[in-house]
Amino acid sequence: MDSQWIPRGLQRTSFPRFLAWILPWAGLLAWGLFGAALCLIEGLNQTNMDNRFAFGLWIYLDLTIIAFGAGAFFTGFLLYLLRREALRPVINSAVVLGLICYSGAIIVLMVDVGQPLRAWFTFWHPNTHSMLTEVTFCLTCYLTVLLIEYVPVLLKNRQFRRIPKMLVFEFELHKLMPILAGVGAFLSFFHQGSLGGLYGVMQGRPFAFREAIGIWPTTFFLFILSAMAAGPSFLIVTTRLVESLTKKRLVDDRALRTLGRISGFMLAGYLALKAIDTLVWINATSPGAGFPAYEYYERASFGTWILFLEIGVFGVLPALLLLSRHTREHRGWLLTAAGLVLSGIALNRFVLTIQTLALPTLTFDPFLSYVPSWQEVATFTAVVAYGVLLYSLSYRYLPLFPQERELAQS
Amino acid sequence: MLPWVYEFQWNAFHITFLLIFFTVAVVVATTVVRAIVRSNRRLAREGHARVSWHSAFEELPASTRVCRHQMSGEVRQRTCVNEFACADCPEHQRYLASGQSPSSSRPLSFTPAVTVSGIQLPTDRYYDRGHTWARIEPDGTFSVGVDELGRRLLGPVESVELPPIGTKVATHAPAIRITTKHGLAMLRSPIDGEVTYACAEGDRWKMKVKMDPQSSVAHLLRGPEIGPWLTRELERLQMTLSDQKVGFSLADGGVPVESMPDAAPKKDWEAVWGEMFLEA
Repeated sequence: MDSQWIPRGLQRTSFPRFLAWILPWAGLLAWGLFGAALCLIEGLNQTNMDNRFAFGLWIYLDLTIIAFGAGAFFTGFLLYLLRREALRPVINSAVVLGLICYSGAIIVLMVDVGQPLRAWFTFWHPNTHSMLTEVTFCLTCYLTVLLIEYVPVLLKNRQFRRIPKMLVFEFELHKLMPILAGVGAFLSFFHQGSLGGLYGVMQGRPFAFREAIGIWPTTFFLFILSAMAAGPSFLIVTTRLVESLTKKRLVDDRALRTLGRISGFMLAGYLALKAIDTLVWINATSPGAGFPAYEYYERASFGTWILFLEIGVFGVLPALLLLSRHTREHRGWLLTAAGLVLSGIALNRFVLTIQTLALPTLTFDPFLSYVPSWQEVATFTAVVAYGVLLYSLSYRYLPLFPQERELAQS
Repeated sequence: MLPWVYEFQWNAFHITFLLIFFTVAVVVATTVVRAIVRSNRRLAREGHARVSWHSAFEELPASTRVCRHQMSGEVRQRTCVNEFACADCPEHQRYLASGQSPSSSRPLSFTPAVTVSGIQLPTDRYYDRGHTWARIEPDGTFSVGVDELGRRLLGPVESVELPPIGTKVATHAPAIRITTKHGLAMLRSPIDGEVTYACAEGDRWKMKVKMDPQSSVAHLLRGPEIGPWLTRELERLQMTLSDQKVGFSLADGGVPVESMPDAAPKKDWEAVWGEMFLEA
């Protein structure tokens, strides 16, 4: 039925089966859009957030998927600027994933901020004292870059290529990709950092507050490094997931091993800095603010286990697995390590968002708890469904993996 | 943090932020505009033929881009990265200089045709990897046609659309549109030149091209190269027709039927032609 739109030489599942796959996701998307619409129309009273617990599931989701989406800028930077040709087989997929992550994050952010008719205020009347201003400008610019980077991937569709204007435009735009990759890397560096800096500057929240290097708190640098570790791992996990769902090999092992090695190096660097940062925080920053660090971990929900889980099981262990050539070359271990890296980064964002806000900062403060409302969960689900749908459509109709034909014939 | 914004200050921090933001915006906008301008210029200057071939070649799997010198056994393994433009390939020149390469042979009309699995290809002409051929005529022009494997792949033809006389055709640019009841196929021109004769009546057609003086047939296969290439093409056809999850599954020993589409009408023949004719 849609065979004329499927890339030549590639086999895809039948249209009815594809419909059966996307319909449940479309249903989830519709449910999520209903929840998001309620939030936009009725206001944030639809959520379980309040003035004290101002960040919830959505901001956690934003921080996590923006870190995962870093694979787009980092892979583009390595391929187009540092000429790591081994990464070419995953670049299209990285761009689509980046686009999904960033557009999803911005959609959620718009629901969270509310008042969509005044969305332009953030650009016209920016708060010059807020790190979120930098985040907003950078995210918007980078999403524009990602949309432009997606155009050549989109124009590779079999039907679009038959239109001479589109064919030649795709060719010319692709030649300029190094410029966009450079701009993307520059923007990502700052917004990833600013998202981390957002927590580091919260003096009223000593659990998150960090010392500054120059004008930036250490969380600025930790977020950049952790995103650079998460991005390649996210590409490994998604590629393997698509391979297992389609029962096909899409990328040769060399590309994924290269991603694994890069992720391992970045993770090791991140862990080293995080260890120093944590020690400084425990011994100087937090006591200096009048809060012995051990007090944060006396709450039943957030014991020291969470710190050891994040740094040990989700940090040191995958770093060792990815840095060892022996384990990196084993498909199972590579996937396990990449999964652990993602779990660690997701846990880090959870700790900074939820644990920070849950802990009391004044003697009369209670330990706060927060459970997201169904509208929040629905909006969260909508973003996941939107991502699955966009990726599924891109995979079906665009040559996302240039090696697919080759590997199918080998 | 823009000049018209409340609390904007003309200090180093705010000015730097502004400069960075506007630089990024200008670079992104300029990049897109530049791509649009360059693509319009290219289209006006040379059309889309070269880009079409570049784009198609880039997506060919390595098994299709096997170098002619690998097929003829001169090198163990080599994949073409030069868009089959052998005239511009230093490696090709090196093989020719040795004087032993089959690529340096000329078409000879008195040698028997090459036959592989029932497919006969005369050796009096040059073959393009997209299954068209070019044969030099006494008047110095080249006749252009589709080879025997291509003919069987297409099956009965309903109509043929040739470029009008006087049209410039480019090597590997789509030149001939063939319609059958199974779909539309585009065949690429094997040479650069000007169409001097084009006649299509129903399923019969004939086309002649006067090759550009600065152009050559260096990229076309000939003589001893034809047999190994045809063998590989039949293997490629097997892979194209088989289910990717199964791999090779046709029984050995048979020969391709006269009209493959009629023998397997449910197949997506436009996709098969695209694969075998190196279509974009």
